[in-house]
Amino acid sequence: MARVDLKSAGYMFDLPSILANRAWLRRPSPFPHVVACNVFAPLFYEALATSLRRILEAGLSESPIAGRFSRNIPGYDAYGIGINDSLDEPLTLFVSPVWRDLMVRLFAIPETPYVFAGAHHHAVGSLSGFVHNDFNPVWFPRANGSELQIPQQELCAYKTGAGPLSASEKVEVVRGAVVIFYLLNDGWRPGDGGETGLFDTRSARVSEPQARCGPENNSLVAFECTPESYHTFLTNHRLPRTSIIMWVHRPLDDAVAKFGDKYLERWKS
Amino acid sequence: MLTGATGQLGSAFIERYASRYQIIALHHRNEVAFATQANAFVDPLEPSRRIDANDHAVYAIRTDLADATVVPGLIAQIRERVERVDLLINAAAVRQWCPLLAGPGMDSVERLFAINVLAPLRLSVALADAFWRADPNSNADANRSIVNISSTAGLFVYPDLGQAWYATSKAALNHLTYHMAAEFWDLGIRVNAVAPNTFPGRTDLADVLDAIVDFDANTQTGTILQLTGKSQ
Repeated sequence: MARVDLKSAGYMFDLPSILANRAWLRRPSPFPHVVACNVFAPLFYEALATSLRRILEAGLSESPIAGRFSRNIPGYDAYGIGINDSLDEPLTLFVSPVWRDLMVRLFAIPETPYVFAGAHHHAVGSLSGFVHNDFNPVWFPRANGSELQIPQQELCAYKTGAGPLSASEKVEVVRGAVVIFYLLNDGWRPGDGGETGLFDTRSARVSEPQARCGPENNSLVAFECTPESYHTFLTNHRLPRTSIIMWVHRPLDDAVAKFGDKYLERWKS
Repeated sequence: MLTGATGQLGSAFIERYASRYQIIALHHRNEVAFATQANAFVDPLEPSRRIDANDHAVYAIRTDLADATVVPGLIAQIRERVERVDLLINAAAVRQWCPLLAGPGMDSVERLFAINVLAPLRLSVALADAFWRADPNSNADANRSIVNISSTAGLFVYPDLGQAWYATSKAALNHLTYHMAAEFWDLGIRVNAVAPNTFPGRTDLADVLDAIVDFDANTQTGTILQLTGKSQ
């Protein structure tokens, strides 16, 4: 498939132009979240799909390899790849200021320069995840002014902050809101599995979510990460599932003030 | 009142006609993809911007129509919400195709018939008791009606597609439509059915929607409208 030249189309990251749907649906149950379908204009969606398809066509790796979908998420039955400047431009939308701004305004959370985006690919028959809330503290190299900062694992481990940076050169923040955007799931239909399940409690049975967000192409689910935003991937029976996931982050003190320190989901070592 | 409100037809009906009808949307597993009494549209670029569709929110009720025992409570809930029901669209359906000898167990067949045949009957009778029996003249004056969503599978045999259960349920719904038209006549309630071919695909979804609102607007009763669509 030919590469779409977005610049010549005048679409590059001008959100009013690339968003096809300006009516996203805010739902309160089982916890506040937003869903939307037909999110991007067809040209931009196709550019995103083409870029990610090209990476998928390089094959899946059972060990971490840069530039490939790899098994790099312990305890999660998926192949992942981080989104950074080395990837095609359509994909870098998800680590751009305009997308960060959209997310923080949508959920009314404080703006920080810290963002993380990646893509996940679940082969057919991938195991369901465990019910979790994403209300996790994480670490970034301290940003340079207002420039966006993505994780740099070798300088500052995302989960622990371990690495060569001094205390003043890194910062601990908390996942503030997440968006899961679905693409490359041609032919998906209800009953195939592969949804994002939403739950009202951590102890809920994975097979019985209160709401299911199906991975229809060009659709998304997004929500503020709180102590109650319980969700997980549901096993996919018939087709692979591919998605882009992106977090914006809030200051640690803001998360503690709003929800309480005891609710922070510290990573298990 | 619309059943199957989260299916393709139900969702499209709501999206197109939420501003024309005050819709009670019955759904089960999935969420209604429209503004409801609980859900609201938001502009991701201007979250405080007013969105017109929120003014036409549907009233969503989650219920399992395969369970006959839910009907009295459902009707009570609807009576609390509205004073009259002008149009019932029975669009909920189990569309399960599988060979007779290699398909699922009888539990699944019972559910298929419960949703595709018994639920339209139960709801229609329950609405008659709750809203329509008292004043047939006002029903006729308001041109109230029921539209059952059937299928050409209930009219023709498409062999080797594993449609036996589904097609038989739709054939039953067609015949039920004729009988309901006859028996609801005295109540001033018209009863018709739309029998499309596979939609979207062989039949345009828009044609099915048009057929529903045409039935609502005209004065026919006891009609099964075939929408055979593209030739096979």
